[in-house]
Amino acid sequence: MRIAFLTRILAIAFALATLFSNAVYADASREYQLKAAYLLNFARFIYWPMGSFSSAEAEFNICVYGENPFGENLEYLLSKKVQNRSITVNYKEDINNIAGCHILFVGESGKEDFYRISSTMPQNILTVSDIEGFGSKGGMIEFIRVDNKIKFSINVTQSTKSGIKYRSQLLEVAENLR
Amino acid sequence: MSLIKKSSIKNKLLIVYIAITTIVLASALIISVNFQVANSKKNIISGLNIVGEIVADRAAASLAFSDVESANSNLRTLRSHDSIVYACIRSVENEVFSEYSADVETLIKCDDYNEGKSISVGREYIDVYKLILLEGQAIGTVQVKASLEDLNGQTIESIKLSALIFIGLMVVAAYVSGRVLNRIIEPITQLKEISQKVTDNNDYSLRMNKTSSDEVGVLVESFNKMLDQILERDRALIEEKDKAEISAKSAKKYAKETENINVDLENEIRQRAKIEEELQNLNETLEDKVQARTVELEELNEKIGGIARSAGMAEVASGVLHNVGNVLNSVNVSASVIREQVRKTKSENLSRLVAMLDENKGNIANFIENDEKGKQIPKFLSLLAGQLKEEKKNLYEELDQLSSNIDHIKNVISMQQSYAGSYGVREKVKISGLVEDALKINMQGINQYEIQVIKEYESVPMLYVDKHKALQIIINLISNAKYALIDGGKENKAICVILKKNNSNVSIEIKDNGIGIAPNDMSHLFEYGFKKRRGGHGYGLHHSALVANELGGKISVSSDGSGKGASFIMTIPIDEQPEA
Repeated sequence: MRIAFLTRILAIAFALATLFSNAVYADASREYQLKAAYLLNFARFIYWPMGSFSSAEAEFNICVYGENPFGENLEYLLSKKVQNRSITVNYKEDINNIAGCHILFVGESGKEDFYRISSTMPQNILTVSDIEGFGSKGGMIEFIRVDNKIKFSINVTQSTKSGIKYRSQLLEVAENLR
Repeated sequence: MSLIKKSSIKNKLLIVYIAITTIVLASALIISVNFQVANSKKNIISGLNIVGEIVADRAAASLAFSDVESANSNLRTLRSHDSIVYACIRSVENEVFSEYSADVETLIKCDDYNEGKSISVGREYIDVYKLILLEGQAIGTVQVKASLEDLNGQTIESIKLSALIFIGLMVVAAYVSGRVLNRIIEPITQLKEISQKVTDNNDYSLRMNKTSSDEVGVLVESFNKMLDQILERDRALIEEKDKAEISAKSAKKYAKETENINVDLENEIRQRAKIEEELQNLNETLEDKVQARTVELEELNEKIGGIARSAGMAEVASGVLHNVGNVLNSVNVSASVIREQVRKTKSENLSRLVAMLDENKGNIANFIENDEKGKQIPKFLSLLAGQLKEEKKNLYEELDQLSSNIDHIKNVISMQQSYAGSYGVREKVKISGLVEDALKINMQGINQYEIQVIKEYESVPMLYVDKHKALQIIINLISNAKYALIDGGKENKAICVILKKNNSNVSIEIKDNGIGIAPNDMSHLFEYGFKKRRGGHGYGLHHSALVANELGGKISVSSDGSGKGASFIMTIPIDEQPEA
């Protein structure tokens, strides 16, 4: 009787918790708001090589190639700073014209182009996407969903090749590493 | 306190030793335990700080990516730290992001987000708070709580151990101190025992063995030396005592003798005292005598003064008497003449006539008419009447002379009386008047010997003098001049009286042309008792000089020699005249 009661309580609690998180992440806008913040946090947990910036005052460029799933959420980043640098957001049309970008987010429509040039990509550009299998096809960080939570996996090998080095804390938080 | 006073040096030292050891050891142990505890706390804190830093660093990514699991696993790593009982991560929005508790039953809550808080030390727990920083910005805090239970347990253990060590060390210290003290004290104890034996038995031959060369060694050496000295002194004392006994015997003998001498001396002293007393008495009577003699002498002195004064007065008196004497001479002559006349009077014839008449009582008329003798009676009576008339006239003349002479005596005496009684009184005097009086007193002699008096009076001021004394002098000088003239025997005898006013005095000069003064006599002139004239008393000039001195003046004399006259000048000062 008591065990049943406890089980039921637990079930209700679990259900409520699930419902709550679904409620949070079900909202697409909220999801990309979070992902936009994550983009910024990635930048903060990476040792950016010396040559990444043309000058001390140079801005931090976040580039989006392909379809932009963030909507207006990227605009929110413009008020922030990374390593004391102002942030710019560029929407790229040409995959070959991505020099100067520090983070390149690849939208669903741009994935073919990206996969094509991924092996010849310029150095020191962190590539991020929520396209499934992105991490295994030349991308570096791939947003994934685990238990309805937004997580990410890191392709350390690919990143190292491109000159990107992560801080250990980021690697600890990553869902999986490759 | 009295207990400490009574106990032996060893016990005192032991007490001091143990007390000091206790204080030192206890202090050392207390300090050590405290230091240990403080150190442990410091270690715990520093460990907690490090752990907090690591957890905070690792929690940054968890917070940044809202990864609770990684945060939980991060905190779970704290399990390896036994003392850490609780840890939590709180976001900057003050939400508890992750929690860790070593014991699920312990109800500990995550403290609120507070950027400033870094550490909190309580009795049971120590909390360390670390900020979770992302690119320098705080995004949350980590709280790590460590229990002090172990530390407290350790502290108690430490105290227990310390107490054990303390007791052990104290026992060892007491034992070792006792042993060491025994070694140190032993010679002193021996010294005490030997000195007791020495004093109890008066045995100064005992000696101590010197076992060390420290202070005690020196003490032992000094003690032995002292005993040597005492022995030596004893020997010397005995010798001295023997000598002293001998001396005492002789001293007794001497004392006896001395006593006898003393008795003699005392007797002598007594006698001397007696003599002294007598002497004193004598002295006193002597003093009395001297005093009496002094009084006598004073009286005598006074008498002498009186004599001198009387001499002066005698001078005056003699002047007076001389005058009176001369007049009396005339009186005497008059009296003789009168007597002679009275003796020669014819009254006897008258008696014969009366007898004749008596015989013829019955026939007087017959007798006168008839008798031869009777017839003669009227003729006789007429003759007798003429004789008696003559006699009466002569007697009247003589009586007039007598009366005039008696008047003269009266005048002289009344002048003398006018000076009497004023002796010693100073008054304003007209000197010329005085000179005149003096001349008057001497007038009889002057007239008798036909001496011419020449007066040269200047106008002189009145002088303030003793009239009588001044008169005495002037009389004396005039009288002297008179006698000098009489003795000189010259025909034209003259006295010159000169009154002169000088600068500060008035001079009265009495000059004569008499016998003069021999140069040899000049110096003795004023000496007491010096006399040249027979009948002189010898102190006229002496007294005059003294009196002139009393008046503030002096008498000087000059003479050209024997037979050449002399001049006496008396000066009386003017300036000493006080306001009348």
